Amino acid sequence: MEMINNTENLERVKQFSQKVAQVKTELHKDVVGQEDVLDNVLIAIVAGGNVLLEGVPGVGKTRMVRSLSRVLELPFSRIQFTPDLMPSDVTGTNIVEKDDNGKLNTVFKRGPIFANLVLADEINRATPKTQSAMLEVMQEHKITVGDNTYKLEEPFFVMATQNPVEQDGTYPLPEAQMDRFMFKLLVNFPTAKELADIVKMTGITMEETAQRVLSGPEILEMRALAATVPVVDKVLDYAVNLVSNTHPEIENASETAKKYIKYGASPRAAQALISCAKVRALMNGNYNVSYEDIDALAAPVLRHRIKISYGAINEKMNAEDVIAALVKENKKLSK
Amino acid sequence: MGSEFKRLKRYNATWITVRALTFAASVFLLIAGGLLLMQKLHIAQVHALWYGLAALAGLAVGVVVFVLLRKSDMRLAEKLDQDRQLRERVQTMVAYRNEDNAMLHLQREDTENRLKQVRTVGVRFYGVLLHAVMLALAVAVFLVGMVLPTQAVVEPTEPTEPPFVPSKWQISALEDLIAHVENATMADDAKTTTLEQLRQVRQTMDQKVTFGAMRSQVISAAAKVYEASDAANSNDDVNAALRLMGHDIRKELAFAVCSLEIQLPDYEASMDGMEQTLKKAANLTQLAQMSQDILACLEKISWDEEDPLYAAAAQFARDLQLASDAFTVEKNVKLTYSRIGEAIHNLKTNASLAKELQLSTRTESLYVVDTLCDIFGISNAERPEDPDVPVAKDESQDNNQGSNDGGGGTGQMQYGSDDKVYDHQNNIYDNYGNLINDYYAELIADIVDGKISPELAEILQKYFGILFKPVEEGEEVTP
Repeated sequence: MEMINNTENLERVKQFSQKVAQVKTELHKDVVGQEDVLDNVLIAIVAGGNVLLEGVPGVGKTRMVRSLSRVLELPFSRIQFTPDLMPSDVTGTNIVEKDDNGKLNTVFKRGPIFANLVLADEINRATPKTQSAMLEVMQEHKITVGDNTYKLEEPFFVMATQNPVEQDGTYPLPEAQMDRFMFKLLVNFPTAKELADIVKMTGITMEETAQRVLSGPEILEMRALAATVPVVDKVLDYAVNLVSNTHPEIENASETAKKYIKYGASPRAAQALISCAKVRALMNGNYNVSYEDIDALAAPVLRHRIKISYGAINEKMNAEDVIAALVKENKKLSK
Repeated sequence: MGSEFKRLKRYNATWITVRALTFAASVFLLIAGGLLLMQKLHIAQVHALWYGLAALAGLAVGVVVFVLLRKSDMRLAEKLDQDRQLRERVQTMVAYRNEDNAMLHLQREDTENRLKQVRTVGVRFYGVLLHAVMLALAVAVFLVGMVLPTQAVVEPTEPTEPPFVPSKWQISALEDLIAHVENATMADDAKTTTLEQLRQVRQTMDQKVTFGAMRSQVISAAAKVYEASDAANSNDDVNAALRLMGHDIRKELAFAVCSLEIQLPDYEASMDGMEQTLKKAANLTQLAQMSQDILACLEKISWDEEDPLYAAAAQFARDLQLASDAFTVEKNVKLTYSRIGEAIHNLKTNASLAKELQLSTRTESLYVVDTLCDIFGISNAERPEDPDVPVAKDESQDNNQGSNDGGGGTGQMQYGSDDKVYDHQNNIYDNYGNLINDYYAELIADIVDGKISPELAEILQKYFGILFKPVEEGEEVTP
């Protein structure tokens, strides 16, 4: 039970948004623009979720994650996914080693997954078998190799990247794995001004200069703190209805779902919405979740969890448009 | 619960109470004002109880408004969040009011700080304006009802008929009519009644009655004159009864005797015919039976014994009986013939006298009614029915042409179509109009069959044309 009027906790709450602001400031030393992406990445990290970054090559996806690892002072590893990557290349494998006594022993050699922040670069280039090796890790934060299960150190995040353009030789992520990502964020091409800043920056240095702000334990503290942000029942129902309304097959399904969605989001979407909304509220200096928080997180949470139908394709609607329509419909229904 | 929220809650409750009271007062004042106006303008009688009911109605409306507008804490929180864009802060605070932790403490504090900026809740300018206008209107109606003086009661007056103002010629004409009747030859009872009615009408003319009342009296007087004339004349009643009887030589005699619609000249001629019939040898033995038949006929038709015509017919029957009795004894044909002739002669004389009086009564009555109605402008449609003429009047009566030429005709049908004439072909007494139609039909049939020459047909058709409609002088006649 939370302490009432605990000065230390009050102070921690007040410092929450300050720390987040500091993190963002440091990140902007290495990353130009991408405000929304950075905000959402931070939300996902505090909420304890994995993020899939999608964008064309060169927009700074990898750089962002590397900067993030430095700012958060989290052990970082990068896994470049290629078609020949094996699952054991990700998780690690048992090898036979001679000890000092010359005795042969089987030793588990940890793979790059054993880090706090894992960058799974171009994850859609790996084979489904390798991709599935990430499933257990992403959801349960543990690895099973042979008879042994290895727990990963918290906080643990997977930041995956993929390109939207290179479809040849790629393996689209299965829905089960997509559902493990809390957010799918679109890293857009920078604006002209941002591009100019990038060019100026590269003219000076390519070095990543962001400094440490948070540690792993601090992130865990922030996570615990965010979890205490209250959500009133009406807002909770609002989030639940939003996720439910992505399903065309349910009774009283929304018109948008019936028309534009083939299949809807899993219950993880509702959990992600609420937990991330709490973090977002606290990041913005608010002490409760509001409808606005839910609406703002709808696209990152839902865009990779719903499959749009041919009806939407015919009308030249993408997932963003469908989600926007769902949010609008949900607002009307809530009144 | 935070103090600021409580403050706003109190404020909201106060505002809702004010609104409810405004509604209650407005309803009461509107109804009471309406009742006052109704009372003072004499639109309806208003009992004091109605004002009590108005108060109850106001109270009920006030309670309903209060209940409907009253908000729970959560609803108030919703309203505050929506109106002030507080991002569900107040709702969260209310929902978690019974819990506490660092986060909730901060949330509550943050919300309270923001609520400090909120002065009012649920109060909008247009809402206040609407309430003010509603109350002002209600007060105005009530004040008008209070201040307005009670209007005087105006009894509705019934529309009055114009008074009847007799003209000099009307007075003079009526007095002339009275003088005429005084000197007329009529049956006593009929004359008395006629004079009585005319004098009453004359008296009424001096009393300044309404137009309608005058006319009503005139029509009533005409009806009574008709009734008196009808009572004095037993012609039609007897004739109608006789029609129902069968015909043979004996009854035909009785029928001929008792029928009083026959024109005197024809009557006498038919009596002459009967005399010849009676004098036939075969009938001498039947004189007694004929006498009985006549008496039986008289009894059957319920003739008034005081009627002189009845007396004449009864005497004739007795005379025949005496002649029969004498013939039985004496077997003297010549003497019997003489007695029959004398009986017929007496019948003619007595019947003529009686008939003459009745005819005169009838004629005078018709004259009185026609003149009386003309004086007062009573149309044919308004005139009472002549009991002697049980047929519908038609417009041709207005002309009064050829209808009073002797006989027992009513004098109202153009060509005496209601006059009874003896139809020798069918041995019945029928209306003159029916008979003339039959004759005309036969004429047409003969024309069609080529039995009549075109020249003669033209003459005959012109003749019937004269009979069927009045002829203006110089008018071309066509049937």
